[in-house]
Amino acid sequence: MENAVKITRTESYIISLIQKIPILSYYAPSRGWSFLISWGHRLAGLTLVGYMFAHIYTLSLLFHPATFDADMRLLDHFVFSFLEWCVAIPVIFHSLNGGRLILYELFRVRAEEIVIRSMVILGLLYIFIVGFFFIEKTQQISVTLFWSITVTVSLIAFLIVLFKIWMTGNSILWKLQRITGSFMFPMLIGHMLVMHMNYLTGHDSKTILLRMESPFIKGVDFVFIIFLLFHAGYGVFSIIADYIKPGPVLKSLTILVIIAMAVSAYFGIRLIVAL
Amino acid sequence: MPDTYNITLEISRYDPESHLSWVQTYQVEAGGILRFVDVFRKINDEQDPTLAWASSCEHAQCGSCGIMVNGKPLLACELLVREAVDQFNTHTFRIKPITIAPVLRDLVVDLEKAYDRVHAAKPYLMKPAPAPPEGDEYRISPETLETYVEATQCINCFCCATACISSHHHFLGPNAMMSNIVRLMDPRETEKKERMDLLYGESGVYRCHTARACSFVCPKEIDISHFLALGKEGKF
Ligand code: HEM
Ligand code: SF4
Ligand code: SF4
Ligand code: FES
Repeated sequence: MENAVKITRTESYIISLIQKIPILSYYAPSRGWSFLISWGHRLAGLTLVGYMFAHIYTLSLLFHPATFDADMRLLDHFVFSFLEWCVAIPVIFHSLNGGRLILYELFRVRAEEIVIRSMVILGLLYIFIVGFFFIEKTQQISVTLFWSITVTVSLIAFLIVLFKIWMTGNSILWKLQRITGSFMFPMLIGHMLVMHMNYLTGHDSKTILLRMESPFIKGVDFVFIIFLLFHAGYGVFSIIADYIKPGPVLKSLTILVIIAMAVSAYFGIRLIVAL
Repeated sequence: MPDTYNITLEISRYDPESHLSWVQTYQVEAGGILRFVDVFRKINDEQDPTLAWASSCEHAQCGSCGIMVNGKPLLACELLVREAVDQFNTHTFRIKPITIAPVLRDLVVDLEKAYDRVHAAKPYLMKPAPAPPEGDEYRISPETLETYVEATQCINCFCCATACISSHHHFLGPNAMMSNIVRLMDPRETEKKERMDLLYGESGVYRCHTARACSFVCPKEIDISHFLALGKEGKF
């Protein structure tokens, strides 16, 4: 890592061990860790987009509660549970690193060693806690209270970033990518935690349908899905635009992305309204 | 510490006449304080006069000797054999031309093409503010100068652009974008509109993902990603 001065002995030992992994051993000394983290951010983002489509599909089964419950029981197998737990890795990595990028690009936070160190500690803690919930499945919490707090924190993050960048000359879409990211930061982290605290909250159709009767929860889900689909869509577009020059190919791919996100939005919103 | 090293250089070769590309291995006995340009010259003198490489000032000022050593873009006139062995922890070096412009021959690339990106960013004052009437100089306060003087030390070696996650496609590249941002920070520049359009255009700063490989490799130790982030923060 550049300016390696502030890294402790233990940390540089751990880094030297990690650098033995072949692809890292090539890129870490030649491009730096931030470069690898950026690729990680991109891959995690794309993984989450894939997971998001699958997630919207399984949720749409709620129209047939019996099928949904049967599917959820199938997914309760430890192999699937393990895979689902693994999703916590891209979730927390992309979220924390997205937060780091927003701090770096918009708030002039340049203390990268401290930020990355905090990311690693918080990330491991989160993965551990989610894992604990997956094994225990018995934690109880008031869903309304939980979401009230989380939505408040999200709104604060949203407003801080909004005020910081709204008046700059950046394109509106680019600004919205940062703004939606900051809103989703507490929401997404909270979502994965609360849905796996106990089995019923996330996997039992009756519990979910009951919760979905609340206009507050409906409102929260509505905003979340719009922000999520915009962020995911613009993210995918932004990756494509890095590789493809403006022209008919970029235009067609952009339309494809918009269609995919619009169809997902239709299914998602229909579900929220109907339940 | 031994003062001579037995090093192996695996160098990418390209012959424009036959369009053939291959990797050629050279075994060199080199003193620790030889620079890579000296090693190339030694190869020319003792083993293979046909190996082509580029340099001019040979003291890290002109930016014409950029190459990739084990994946890292750097200046061949700056890297000592001893340092390379330390830094990459090996005696074998895979050497390639920088990847930001077409290869003309072996390690020599078409810098003219690479410079097109810099020219697109207009690295000069487009509309300089008139000098104040009292004197013949435009004075910049030391505090203001301090905020961007580091960026003016760029020698356009394109090491940053070679390392960048997205400048191989249609991002103008870190050095070109930075030279635009520097002029936005320069109080003498009055043409802000065109500069802002360039900054936020399709090939502008949005293509940068703060991967910071540019700052990591810059031989002049310029924190390029800091300047690009100032561009995104948009305080001009
Ligand atoms: C939870 C909070 C999140 C935050 C703070 C966040 C933040 C960010 C930021 C700042 C970027 C821009 C990176 C860049 O331009 O280099 C980004 C890109 C991206 N995000 Fe997120 N994000 C979040 C959640 C998500 C989710 C849930 C998804 C997927 C469903 C997602 C998908 C993407 C994709 C695909 C990109 C493009 C990556 C790239 O350009 O390399 N993000 N995110
Ligand atoms: S910013 Fe640094 S690496 Fe990039 S061209 Fe200038 S001197 Fe070279
Ligand atoms: S910070 Fe931006 S310009 Fe620098 S290497 Fe990364 S993507 Fe390229
Ligand atoms: S020869 Fe001029 S910078 Fe290396």
